[in-house]
Amino acid sequence: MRKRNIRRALVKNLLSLLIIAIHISPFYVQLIMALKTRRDFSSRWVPPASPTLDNFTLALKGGELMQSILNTAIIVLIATSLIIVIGAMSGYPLARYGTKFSKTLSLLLLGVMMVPPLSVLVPLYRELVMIKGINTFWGIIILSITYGLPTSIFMYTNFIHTIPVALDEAALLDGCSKYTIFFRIIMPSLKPVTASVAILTGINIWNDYSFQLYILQKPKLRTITLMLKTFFTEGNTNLNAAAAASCLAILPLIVIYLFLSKYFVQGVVDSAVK
Amino acid sequence: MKKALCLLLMAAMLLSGIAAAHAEPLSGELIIASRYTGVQGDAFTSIIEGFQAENPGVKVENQVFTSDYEDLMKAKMAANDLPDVFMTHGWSIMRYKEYLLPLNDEPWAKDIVQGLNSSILDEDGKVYVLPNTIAWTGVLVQNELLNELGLEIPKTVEEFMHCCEVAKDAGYVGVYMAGKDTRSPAYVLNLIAPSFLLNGADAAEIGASLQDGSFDWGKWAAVNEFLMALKDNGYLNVDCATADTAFQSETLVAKESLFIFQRNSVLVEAWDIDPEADLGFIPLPAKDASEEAYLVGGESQAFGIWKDSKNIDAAKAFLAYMARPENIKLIAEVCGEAPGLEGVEVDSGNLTKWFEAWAATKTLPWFDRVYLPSGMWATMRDTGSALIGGESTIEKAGETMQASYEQLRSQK
Repeated sequence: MRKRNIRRALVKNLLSLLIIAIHISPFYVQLIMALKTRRDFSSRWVPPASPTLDNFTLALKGGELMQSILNTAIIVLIATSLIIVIGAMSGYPLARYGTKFSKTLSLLLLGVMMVPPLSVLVPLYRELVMIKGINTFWGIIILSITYGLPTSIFMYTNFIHTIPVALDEAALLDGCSKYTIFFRIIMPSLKPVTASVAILTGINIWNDYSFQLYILQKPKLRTITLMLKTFFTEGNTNLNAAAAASCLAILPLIVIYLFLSKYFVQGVVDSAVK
Repeated sequence: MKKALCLLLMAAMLLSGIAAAHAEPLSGELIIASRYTGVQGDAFTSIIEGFQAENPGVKVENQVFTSDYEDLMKAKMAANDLPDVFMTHGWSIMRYKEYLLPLNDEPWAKDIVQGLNSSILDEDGKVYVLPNTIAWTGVLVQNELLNELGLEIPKTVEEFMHCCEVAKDAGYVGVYMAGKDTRSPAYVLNLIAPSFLLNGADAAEIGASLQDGSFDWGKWAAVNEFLMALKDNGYLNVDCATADTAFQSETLVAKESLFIFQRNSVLVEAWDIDPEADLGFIPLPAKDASEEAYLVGGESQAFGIWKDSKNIDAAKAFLAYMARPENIKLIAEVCGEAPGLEGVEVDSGNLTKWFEAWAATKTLPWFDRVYLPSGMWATMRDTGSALIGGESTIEKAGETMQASYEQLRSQK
């Protein structure tokens, strides 16, 4: 019996190690490439004989990468904060009032989530041109919020369903208004799902390419994904510098994820279980 | 009477002098759309900086759209919100004409190289772009490998296939295909199409039928067959459907592949990695020995002005500045192309000997730009990609081309 348990644990651990290796391998190759010169044609799995930091220097040249990280951070921070606040405030009545209208609205939100964002690109672009939203942070922030909100509302609605209504009723008896109940009683209980929403929508906006490409064309407004794309053009591609820039660009996300991972996992589990 | 005339003349001269002295310096914010990065980006930036030094009142913003240039420009055209100055990448007439300002009266217009007239003048003789360069495109070749394998420069399709066979037998890739970018197989179709359709005695007849809509699409099968022969005979790299364009220059420098159907800018990039690499370009093979090998040429690094721009004067001044010989030379050299204006001496470096070698070679225009309706390039990308990915057959791909051709013609 004990032997069987040991064997089972061994298989589990080996499988886990294999999955971890598969996940880490792209980052390993990326780092190896970032440390090699363009003339080094050795296998991308083999570390360089004499590592170079030239690619990192090139990636940081002119401060464009740092500027793009800052731009992305501004967009993600503002858009995600608003997605969280608006999403939670919208999710609360949808979860608490089981009226036909609420149910229809929830279904509508689900439907919106199914629409491929790029299918409405041209009319969206035209509208943004009309309201002078092209090449502005507020233009891309509005767009990011619009596409992030359905997921956020959906997750908050599901999560709030798990909070007993008795809590609201007790607060009501104590003289709390609806807003006080939401901000004082409900909001503090939403930490885990808020972490999930923050990470899911935040990562989506951080990694977005298509919308940012169409909305942000000024070099000074470039985000990380747009900045990385400048290393790839017809007849002018520098993979090694792109790898170095990518290494630097993913650092902030990794740090944030490490801090929030506990909440993230808890939030995903809690919002999935009613 | 004479005195009065003299006085009048003096007054006119004085007034014109005053007017000249008080001519408003150029001002405004000029938005330029380009797709230059790397070495080309540095060269273009230096031109913009030079222009700004001479015109401090003009603020220039270079928006680099990289490889998504066409998609972005399509969205901008749909919203009628274009940059003041933008690259037309070979499509000044067929795609962008209605958005561009005619530039026949510009001082540099008279210097445009004669060979470009067929591709950049419309039926009324109007020109809409400053053509910095002409792209002479053939097949890129790893010349050292060609010599090592004891091969001659192929002149016919049969000889070309023989070269690929020898390369394959020796463990090399015959033709490197970066199929992740669907432009790669489309380049093969676009470049080789004239060999089967527009290079023989019936070229004029077939060309006319393509333009008037009576083309027999059964003839397109030969073009698809060429691409499929490369694939079926194992002359393409094994990852031909997924390989990235980023590896094109590397595979040439590393001497792994013999040929690539691409523009000369890939050579310039390869020489940036290894300046000593023995690379070059050769004419496209003819269908058989009765016809001659050819190059494809036409508008390349060209810039036009949006007709509704609010900064037309500044935009014209920018093009005039860019048309100066030193700037044309700079762009031509970093792009590995020939100058588009007369009287510009270019040091093409490693490419010089190839330009000299093929100076007398027959040159045909880009097939799709002259003979197909705008929008067919996307269809060629789809059908070419489906062919090398094994998702389509020669017949199906031909039918798709025909359907798209008829649909796009009906939308004209």
